[in-house]
Amino acid sequence: MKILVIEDDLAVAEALKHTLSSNNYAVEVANDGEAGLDCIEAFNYDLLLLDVLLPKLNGIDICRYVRSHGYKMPILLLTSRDSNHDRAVGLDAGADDYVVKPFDAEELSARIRALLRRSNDRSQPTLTWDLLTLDPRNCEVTYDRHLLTLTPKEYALLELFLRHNRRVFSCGAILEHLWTYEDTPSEEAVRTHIKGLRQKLRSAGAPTDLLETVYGIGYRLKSIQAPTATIAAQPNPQQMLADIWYRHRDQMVERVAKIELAIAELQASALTDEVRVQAWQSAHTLAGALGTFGLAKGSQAAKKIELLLDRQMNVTLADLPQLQGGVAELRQEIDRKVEETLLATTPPATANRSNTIDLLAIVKEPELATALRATATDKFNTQIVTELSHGQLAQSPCAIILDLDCFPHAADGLRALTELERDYPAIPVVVLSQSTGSLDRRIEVAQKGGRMFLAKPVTASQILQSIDRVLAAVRANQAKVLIVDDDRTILDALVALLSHQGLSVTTLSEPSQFWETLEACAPDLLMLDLDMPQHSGIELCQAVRTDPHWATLPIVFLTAHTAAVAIDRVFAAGADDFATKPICGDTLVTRILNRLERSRLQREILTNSRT
Amino acid sequence: MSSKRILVVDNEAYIQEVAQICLETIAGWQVILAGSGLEGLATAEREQPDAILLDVMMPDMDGLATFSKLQSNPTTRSIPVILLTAKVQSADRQSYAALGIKSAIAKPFSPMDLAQQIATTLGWKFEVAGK
Repeated sequence: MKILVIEDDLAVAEALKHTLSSNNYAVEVANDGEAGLDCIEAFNYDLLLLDVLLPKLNGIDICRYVRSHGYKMPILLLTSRDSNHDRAVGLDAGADDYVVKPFDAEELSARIRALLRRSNDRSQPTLTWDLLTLDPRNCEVTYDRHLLTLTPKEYALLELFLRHNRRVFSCGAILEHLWTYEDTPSEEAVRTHIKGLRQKLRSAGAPTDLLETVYGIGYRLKSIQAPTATIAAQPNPQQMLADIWYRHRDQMVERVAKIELAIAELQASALTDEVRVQAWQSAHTLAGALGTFGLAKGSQAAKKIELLLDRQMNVTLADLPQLQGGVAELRQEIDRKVEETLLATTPPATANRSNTIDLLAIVKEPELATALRATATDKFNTQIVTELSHGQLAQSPCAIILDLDCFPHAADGLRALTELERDYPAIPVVVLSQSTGSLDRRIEVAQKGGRMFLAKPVTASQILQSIDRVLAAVRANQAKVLIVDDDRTILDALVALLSHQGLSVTTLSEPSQFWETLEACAPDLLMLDLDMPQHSGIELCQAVRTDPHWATLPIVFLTAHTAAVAIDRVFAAGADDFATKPICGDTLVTRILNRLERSRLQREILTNSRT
Repeated sequence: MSSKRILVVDNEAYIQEVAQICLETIAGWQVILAGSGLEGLATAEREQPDAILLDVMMPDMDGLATFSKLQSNPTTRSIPVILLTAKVQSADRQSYAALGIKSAIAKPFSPMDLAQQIATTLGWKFEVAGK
């Protein structure tokens, strides 16, 4: 909490500053009335402590000015004159309390606490939030009766959040409340203190997100909710990862710039070892970072650059084209990701990330929107819009209702459907359209990936029934795939690729645990690497085929060998298909989905023939 | 309920943030962060985490030097250490195992699978329903 002291007696001002600082308040001092008023207008204070007799503008006038301009912070007047008249004038001018000099430090602190309490409509001297308690009288903080040892700034942070327990504080706002103008640090310092405070709270047993991040805005105390509501507010790690990328993207760009500097020096035959090492380190970090954020191509490009810039490689002018090509690829990948993230996080200030959307409806008629909202409430968390944005899709709805009439031309709507199918294949789309009699429209919608076509006019209940049917079909089709490969990089790439298609993927890098995993996972399709230590894919495949339960399980091999002999061996062991490494994403996905579909049809035929 | 506590030692802020988000939200473990080998040593001694995720390439004191200091300190010797490194060829893995390092996770890693990889290595279970 930040307090402004307006006092012309330097010794008294110093004593006040000392007393208040020892109570963990941030204190600023102005030595005359006008300077004090300037401060009040420029910064945010939680409380004003004013001397009555001041040069240039007296304390009573300051009180009147402050109140007439709508400022609501408590004001405590401080004066050596003790008369009923002075007290009455001060209080009438807008002051909240009065302390007579020479002041008693203990009494002054107690009065300040009382005023701060009153300004927050609190009657209790201690501040509490769930199991967290802060007692300003002795600066003691406990969580579930565990005492926390906080630094003065961590204490002040917590007090700020507790006194304004519904407010979101940006880093800037926290800086304004907790630091004085002269020693304001960077926003990074706020984040460091928040981190420290969170760790201490966690160590005392508090939930990890008691002090929660409101993405794009700041921090606040997490609202105390019933347990069911807390589960619904589970943070979405994918979205949080996008936010981390967003925060660090400038550093990535800076690292590319360091590599570019080395290239420029190399081109001028003036590459110093220092610049080379910096570029090499940048490439190393980028190789790790870009891969972690899903930019596999960028990661590979960085890896190549890292190798070229390694000391032992003795980089020369002949390496220039490769370095330049690699940097171009890096730039392209980072730009693409930046654009993606910008689209996915717009608008950060209003996105409610703690609430996931179940059903995203893009509908034109307001009546239908109202009816949908009313009918869907108890079943789905529904968001109804008239325009489709990446921000909504980033919240992973389980189904989409797409009204083609929301688009200026039907072709635009169909293009949106194509893009949805391409970018979010796991989310089923139910399409609404006015053109009832057009067979062509129905065919186009089916070809572009629409799961169901509803001709308007249609009721909200009919739409929701269709959603139920589509979701039931999705659940039934959610196939499980088990992948066995000793190369974790390949496993990671396959998980990313297949999960995107709505498949449930289990991975195994130790073939020795194969049988237990197979039985526990009960997959609908098995992918095996051909060459693995301990047991080869061929051996595992043979074992699977000898078990009656698994005899018909579709098996796809992954192999770097393309020689006919190797492929013959794979099929002889009982494989259904094979894919070559390096993996070609689209081809592999198509093959797996086809294989799963074929296997599902076979099972259906078998079941029907038995009944 | 006593939650598992894992210390992440990495000088890269993005790794710290990614690891913290993923391990806390997916697995429900408590994450403690340290930004250097030296800080990692002090934090490990003070906090006594259940495991340490240690980056190899760090300025001043790298991951392997940090590991050897952890080993020479009786109060941190028994804490399992998982390396985070770009070097995960089988020869590298053998040398890590010979040193007594529990496992090595390849960089770049897949954030959504990080918790699963650690859980598999250490035989831990997730404490919140994850994806």
